[in-house]
Amino acid sequence: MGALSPGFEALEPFVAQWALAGETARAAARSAASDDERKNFYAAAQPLMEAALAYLDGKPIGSLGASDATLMRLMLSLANVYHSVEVLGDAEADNARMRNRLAFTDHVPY
Amino acid sequence: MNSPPTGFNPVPQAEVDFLGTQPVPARPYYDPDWYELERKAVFLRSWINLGHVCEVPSAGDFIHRTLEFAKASLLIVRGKDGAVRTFYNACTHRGTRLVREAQGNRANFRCPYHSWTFAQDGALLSAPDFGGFHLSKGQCALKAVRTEVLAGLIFVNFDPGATPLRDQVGEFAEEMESVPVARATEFSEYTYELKANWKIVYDNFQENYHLRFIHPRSGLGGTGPDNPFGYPTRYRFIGDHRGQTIWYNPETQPRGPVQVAGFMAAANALAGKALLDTPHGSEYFCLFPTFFMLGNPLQNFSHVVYPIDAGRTRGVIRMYWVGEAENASELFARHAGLTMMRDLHAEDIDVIEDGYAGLSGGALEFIHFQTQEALCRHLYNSVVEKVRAFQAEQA
Repeated sequence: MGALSPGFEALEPFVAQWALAGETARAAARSAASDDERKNFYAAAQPLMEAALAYLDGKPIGSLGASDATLMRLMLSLANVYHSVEVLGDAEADNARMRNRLAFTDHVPY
Repeated sequence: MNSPPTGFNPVPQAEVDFLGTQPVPARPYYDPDWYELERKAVFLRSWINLGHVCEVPSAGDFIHRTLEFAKASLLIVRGKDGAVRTFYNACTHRGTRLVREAQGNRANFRCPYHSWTFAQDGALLSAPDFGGFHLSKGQCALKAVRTEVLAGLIFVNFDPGATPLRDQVGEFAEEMESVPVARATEFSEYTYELKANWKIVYDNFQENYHLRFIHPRSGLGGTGPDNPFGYPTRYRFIGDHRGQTIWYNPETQPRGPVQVAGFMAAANALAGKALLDTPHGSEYFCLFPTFFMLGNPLQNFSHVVYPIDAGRTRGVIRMYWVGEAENASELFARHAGLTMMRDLHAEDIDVIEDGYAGLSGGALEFIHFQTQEALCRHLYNSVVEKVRAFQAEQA
């Protein structure tokens, strides 16, 4: 997978759980996580979001190297998990039970 | 937060008086015999969205779709001449399916059974020992299904006599052509299967009365003090098709920094493609019987409801994108928007299935639609009209 680029080391502990390929895997990770796991990931990733996206925007999106692809996937997990933290709050569990029935058709590179 | 009120006024009853106000019989929302009538009178005679031209960009590209209501396996193929055609996925020799995979590219379609081989335009090219059939190849072309493309969306119709979709939908055609979907090159998709009659599923997504109760947090901007139920500003009825113009709360603020970043990145990406300020972004198109699309370029989704039987329904929801994401920010924005949409749609699942569970045993003789559920009433009226006409033909 490759270590994350300098500046994003704080996200290393979240790679195994959240740097997943495809919407299906990321959606499943969000639903399977505990409230604390979601909140901890959000708390670590949200402050680095702007820097991470600015850094990745400087790279060709179609051919990211391994560590940059990992960072991209972390950001895409943030683009999923944020909704439970910023919007749904304690409605997340009920939402997860129902949204698990909305199955993604994966066909994206990250 | 001290802005003047927007002065929202709901659509008055007088505008929908033509639909009637009487209670609506409950039986059509669960009865298998009624569904069998709908299958023949509605579904086998209506335009059904099955995909988008971006799925078959090059000659020989095909997608394979199954439609339960027609018991049909269909092949949608892009020909050498650029035309998109639909065929029954059935060899004209003895009916064997030509294709099993969901999509792909073929120079021609060869039946695995006896090697009958068909061109991309359906013509029979070759068949071993064909002289023994006493037929001409012209008699053996793949059986075609009527196909029409509107705003890049591929619709099929099993009725050879149906009015072209474009002629049915009037002003919607030009409006839909102005929405990003018409130029889309890719999409994100999620699907579902629910235990509910297709009309119960569909109706949920064409009335706003439920928004404040079912989507109190995720229904961003859909309700507000001037319009606590989030009713639309306009309804339109064009034949069997209908639409509503969405009201957005001008006071809406995103809920957190990631949502803000997602919106901003999405808006930037759309502006860069001249797609942000489109003229019909507040329109919600409901094409009879089972298609929806929101014109909002930030949430340009389609939603198609396919009945499996009287009590089961399959759905396909897509968000359409113009061009590949050009950078990480655009990809992030697309996923943030997709999350909002999926979480919102998820919230409807319980009440849809509970609606069917409540009705399906015959508990109620009637159900009720208020003024602001006019689109649901219009669907019911259209369905009944089709079924009665079909019954009259059969009599």
